[in-house]
Amino acid sequence: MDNLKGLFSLYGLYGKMDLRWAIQDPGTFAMVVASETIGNIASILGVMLLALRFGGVGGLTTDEILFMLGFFQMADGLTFMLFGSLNVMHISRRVGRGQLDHMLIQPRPLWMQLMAEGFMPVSGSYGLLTGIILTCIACARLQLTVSIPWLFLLLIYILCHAALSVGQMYLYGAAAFYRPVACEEISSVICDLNTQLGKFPLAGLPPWMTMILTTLLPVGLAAYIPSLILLHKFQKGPILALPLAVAAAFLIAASYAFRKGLHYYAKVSCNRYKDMGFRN
Amino acid sequence: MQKSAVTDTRIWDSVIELQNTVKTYEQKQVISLFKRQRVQVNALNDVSFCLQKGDFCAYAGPNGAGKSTTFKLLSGMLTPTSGQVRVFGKDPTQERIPLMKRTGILFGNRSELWWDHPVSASFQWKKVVWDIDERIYQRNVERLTALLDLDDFWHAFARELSLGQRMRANLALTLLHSPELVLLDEPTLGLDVLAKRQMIACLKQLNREEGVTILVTSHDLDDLREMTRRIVLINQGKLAFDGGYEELLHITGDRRVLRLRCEGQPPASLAGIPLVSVEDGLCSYEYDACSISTERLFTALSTIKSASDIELTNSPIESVFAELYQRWRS
Amino acid sequence: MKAYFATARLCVLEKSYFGLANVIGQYLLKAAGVGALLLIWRSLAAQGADLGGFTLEQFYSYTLLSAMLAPLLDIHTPATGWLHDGTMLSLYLRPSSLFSQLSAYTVAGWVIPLLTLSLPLGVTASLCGVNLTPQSPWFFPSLLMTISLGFAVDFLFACLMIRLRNLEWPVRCLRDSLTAIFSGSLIPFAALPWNIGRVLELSPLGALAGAPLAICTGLGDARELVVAQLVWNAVLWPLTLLCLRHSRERMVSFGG
Repeated sequence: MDNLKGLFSLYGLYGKMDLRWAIQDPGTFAMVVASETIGNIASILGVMLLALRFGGVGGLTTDEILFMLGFFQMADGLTFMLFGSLNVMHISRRVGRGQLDHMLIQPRPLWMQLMAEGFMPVSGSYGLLTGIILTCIACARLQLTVSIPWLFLLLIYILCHAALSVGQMYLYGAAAFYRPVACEEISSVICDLNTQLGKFPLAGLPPWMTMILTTLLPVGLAAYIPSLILLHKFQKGPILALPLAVAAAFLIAASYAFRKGLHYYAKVSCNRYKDMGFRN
Repeated sequence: MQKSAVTDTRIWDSVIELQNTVKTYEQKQVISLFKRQRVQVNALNDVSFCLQKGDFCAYAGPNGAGKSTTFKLLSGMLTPTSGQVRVFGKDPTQERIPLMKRTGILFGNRSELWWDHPVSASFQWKKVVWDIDERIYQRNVERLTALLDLDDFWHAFARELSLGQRMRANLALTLLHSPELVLLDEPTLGLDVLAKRQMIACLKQLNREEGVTILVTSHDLDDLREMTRRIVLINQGKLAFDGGYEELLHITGDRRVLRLRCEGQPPASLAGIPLVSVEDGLCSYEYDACSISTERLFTALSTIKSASDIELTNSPIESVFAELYQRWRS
Repeated sequence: MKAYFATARLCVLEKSYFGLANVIGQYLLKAAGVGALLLIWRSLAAQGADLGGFTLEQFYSYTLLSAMLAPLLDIHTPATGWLHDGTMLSLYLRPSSLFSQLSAYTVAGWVIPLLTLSLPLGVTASLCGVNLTPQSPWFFPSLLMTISLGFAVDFLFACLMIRLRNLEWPVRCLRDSLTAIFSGSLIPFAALPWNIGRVLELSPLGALAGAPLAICTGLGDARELVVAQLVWNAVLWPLTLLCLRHSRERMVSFGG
């Protein structure tokens, strides 16, 4: 109970700090929001244009593709809003740059700090908002019946996306404990891979490839499979639980790898340090 | 046997305690493009010392002696390869969270300030994360802003501070939760004379009035001597000295410098003391006060007819250490 | 030139110290990404999509070449990062021009990805029967102009970052997203609807990756694309130099 209270007090703190950052420097805030929104739209434009050119891609119509992209943007936006600040998501950077020490001198459990420190409800919300708008447009065009259970399912899959993204970045990012310089950017590679491929429909792939892309390298679960379920292409069967199962597996594996990495870190620390923003 | 010896000598009321602490690293070395080798580095080698409540202790040694490793062990970031590390009687890696509430740590080359926020925001952040009582927070903010002169840049963005301002703000942040133990790794790094004096005064006051235990490292040995009463010297991971400055000077020799202004050729030695340098007619002779009597020295001086001015000073502590480090290296 | 090679040599060695085993994981992930994109083209062709009169082979070649030549098609000098963390200032303390130092670091940075990703991808593709031979000799001058233009674009984004008070993250986000789509590095312009591709391939960003790839795979008109690249080089370089000159003071003061 104390932990939960502590966690929410940290969420409150980082939420306030983010709001204050946006208010105290509105010019910068506006520039950040504008550039990130343009970036977000540009990043989904490629697949959207392909869909428009070919009248749909991978067995999905143009509107269904729009729904999938909206879902991706929404889920990725939420992940960014929760973990995007200060490289909490790109954990290999924090570890590889020797910045974990800043967290270790705080009198809070590390998990609590990692859960809360990346929270930016104001400056990190544009991705989520863009996603919500796109999804609403797609739902209207597709005339989807939006019910409470459907919304609940949507929420579950969005959370699965967040867990998968963070789980992968922490699982592979744990390599930075052992090779700080070489693996500093490994979380970013994972992130780029998910962002780039997570928006493509994966129909028509050989079964072995589909298997890989929905388990080991689960870009298919980033948006494609959840969208198919939400678009009622799959009504029942184990596939409904697949995103949840894989997300849970990745979280468990990430937790194990990260803990192991931390034990190693306590033995050797990090042989380098890069400042968090201050110029040299 | 080893274990029981450790238990027997353990001092439970000590704030910091290192018992036969060993910390070994593996270092990769590049011999050529295709040849690598791994070398064991003993960062700390069987180091034992302890600090009692209210101690203000300097921790010095040449570069790579193991000072920062000791700080990382004390703050629970590293585990020792063998031996024991205790802070307030607890294992810092196991009890990191409660210990951090009682400890303030400052690494001179790192900043805890939130760089994209005003300085004040970092203090408000710390208040929540460290769960500092509102009354204590207000009192400490008032006191520390006055002591370290933070008023001028309290509302400025941390990213825009000068190095001196950043260091002062960092020290204030370190002390904000009224820590009982303060570990300072090169806190005076890059500070100007005024900022240094402010920082030293603040630490001395804290130690004197509140009994805060402080362990501080610095390469500025005059600063260390001004701040602390005790000095622990470490060299190549081994404890080389632990005691007061007088005691240290006794070991290294009570070095003095005699400066003599004279016309013409100065004598190459004076009662056996060699001439070290001549600059603008000022001749410097360095000697150990323990090994030569004042009477003999003055007798020798009285024979120099052309002497117009004489100055006798203690050798700067920097020189004492430079000689000591040189001796260790060779 | 000696100074240039000394810097570049150290930069390559610096990366090699990581050990191949440590960096290979990143390149394997990138290779997996390329594989997935190739399969997407195949699935599109399988669903009977009209590929704009081009063959599936050409799309394969396009994607593979894009991945193999990635560091050359979208130049990333360390300028933006160094401006952000202040390293840029130290470049002024060396007896070489800013450009030669930055280009030495950049060109040296290509060596490891070209060896660990491009070479194996090229060999594998050739063994699988994918044709990577340029369809026109204009590919080589086009590639050179892409590199030249890439430096100009990178410096322009660095200047933009200086203008935006050293905000590295949004500038990088903006640049990555814009170049991914509008440079044609991910999706060939020939696959875009409503003839958008025709407009984009003549745009400054399109003259980056899109032009040499389209020339190499035969997806575009070589002469037209090379002329567009020439024009953009002639326009953007003077603009870049002007922006750099105007940003110099801010560059040094922020960079310190």
